[in-house]
Amino acid sequence: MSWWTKFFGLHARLIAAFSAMLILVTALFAWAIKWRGKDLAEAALLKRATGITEVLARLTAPAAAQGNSQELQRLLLLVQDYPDLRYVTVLGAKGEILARWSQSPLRPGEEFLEEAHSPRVVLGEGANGMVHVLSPVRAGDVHLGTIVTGFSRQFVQQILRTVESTLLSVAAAVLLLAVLVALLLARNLQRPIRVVAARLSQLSQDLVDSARSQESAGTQQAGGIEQTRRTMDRVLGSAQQIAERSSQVLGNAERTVMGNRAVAVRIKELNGQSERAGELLAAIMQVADRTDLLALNAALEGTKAGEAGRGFTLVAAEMRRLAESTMESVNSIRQLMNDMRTASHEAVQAGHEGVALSEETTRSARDIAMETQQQRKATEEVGRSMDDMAASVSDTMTRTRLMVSHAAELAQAASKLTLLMGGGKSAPTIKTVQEPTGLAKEIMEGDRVP
Amino acid sequence: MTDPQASPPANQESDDVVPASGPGRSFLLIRVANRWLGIESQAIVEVAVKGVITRIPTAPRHVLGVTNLRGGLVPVVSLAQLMGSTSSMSTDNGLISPRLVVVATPEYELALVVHEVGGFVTQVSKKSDTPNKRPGFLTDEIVCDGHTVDVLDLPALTTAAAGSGAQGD
Repeated sequence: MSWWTKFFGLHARLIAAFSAMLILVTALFAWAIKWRGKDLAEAALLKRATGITEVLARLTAPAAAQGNSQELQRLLLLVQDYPDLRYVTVLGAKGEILARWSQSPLRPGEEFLEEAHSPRVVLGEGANGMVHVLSPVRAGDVHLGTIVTGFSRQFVQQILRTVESTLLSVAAAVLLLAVLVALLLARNLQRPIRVVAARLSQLSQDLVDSARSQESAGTQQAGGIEQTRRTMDRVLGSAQQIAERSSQVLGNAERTVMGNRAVAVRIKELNGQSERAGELLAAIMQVADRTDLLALNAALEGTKAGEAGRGFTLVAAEMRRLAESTMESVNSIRQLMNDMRTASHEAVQAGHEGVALSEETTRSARDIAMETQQQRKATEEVGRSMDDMAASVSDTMTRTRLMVSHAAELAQAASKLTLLMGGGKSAPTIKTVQEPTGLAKEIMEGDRVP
Repeated sequence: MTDPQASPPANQESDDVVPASGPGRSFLLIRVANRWLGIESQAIVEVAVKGVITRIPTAPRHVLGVTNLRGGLVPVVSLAQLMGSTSSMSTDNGLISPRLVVVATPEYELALVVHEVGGFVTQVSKKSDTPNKRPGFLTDEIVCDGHTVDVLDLPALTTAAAGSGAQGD
């Protein structure tokens, strides 16, 4: 800030500028009035001198025609009251002086004595030179002579001086008035400008505070977004693993279903074979039963036969033991087959349950795979949204920094304006927003942690 | 012979069976319900499979009917019913056909329904102090392989089967 600005505020400069402008306008007006007034005074003098001379020419024409000098001299006294009329001389037709009058004694050569057959004006040299007006004196078409008048220009100069003094007075009054007006205008302008500057400074500070809060929120939001992104990445990885595992489970479940169905078919075939074996065992049992019966009857007959049937009885007894052994074996086999049938039935039941469970597992695995696929899509969508949000946050923080920078410039302008308004206290300096660090910096630079 | 779950006495045919004319009599062991009984071998005609039994109206409850054995009609008597047992007719396993022991009495033949046929034994000794709480057709008790077995008195049994007894439905 220059020393001029420091010591002369806007108030003084406004007054000075307005006064200078009015002085300039007044000077131009005075100069124009002066030159214009001189010309007008000159023109008025010439007109008045010409008129007076022509009037004198007509008045003196009869006396000049008679050659009456006394009358001419008396007529000349009629214009002695004109203050700027220096002299009047009436020349005859031959150039002789018929009458003359002067306000004061004339210096040699000051009087202009020439014949003129038509009105003529001769201006003397210098600002104080006289104006000589020559007008012919006629009686009809007869030239009787010439009347010469000399008017002093001092009166014009006096008028011009009067005009100049008047102009100076007017200019001084205008200057004073201009100063007063400028003072009033400056005071009326200074107050709202100061208020506006203070308000502007306050708004700038508020803007900076708001921007800082927004920047802090943006930093936190960036951190949250990054944390969410990492979580989403982990969820995506988990979903991928779940999808792979569910695919394996699906394959295993389908193979289990096929295996259980094959086992069920085999067990059904085994049951059929077991039924046929049971029929065979029933036949064997029947044969053994009849053999036992026959052996029993044979033993009975041997017993009835006494000693002779003893051997027969022994053989029958052995046959009966064989039949009983056969029946016991058949019973054991039937028991085993019953156990096998029970076990196979349970195996079939278990197989059916296994098939049902495997099918349920297959459906669950498919559902899991589908849900995982949807979850992966949703996670990827969330990731893209996080990218968009991070870009938005980065853009917002960039704009915030720009806004803070502009707010600081605005505050500085307000401070300068306050100084200009009279050297008051300047607005507090506004610090710009700190450079982003950490995650916020990474997001603003577009880096992403995988 | 009172143990209901006891197994049949060991078959002593190879060692103990002797001809009827010998010093010991031969008996066929049968099980009725939970009780083992003995029938003298000389009175047995044959052992047959229980076939179709035709019921006889107004016959006593223990007379199950008649059955056809080689062209002849033989009355079928339930020893279990006659002995007052409520046990149903069944074998140990469901595979062995119920047996009919056909016995000959002086008047006619009877087919006795038994639950199981054990085998032939020879009388070893005879108990002397026989209690009187048994049915009348069980006359003697013999000891076989350490077990006491009641012996059916076939004439008394015939009389009991043909005479008294509850009427059937």
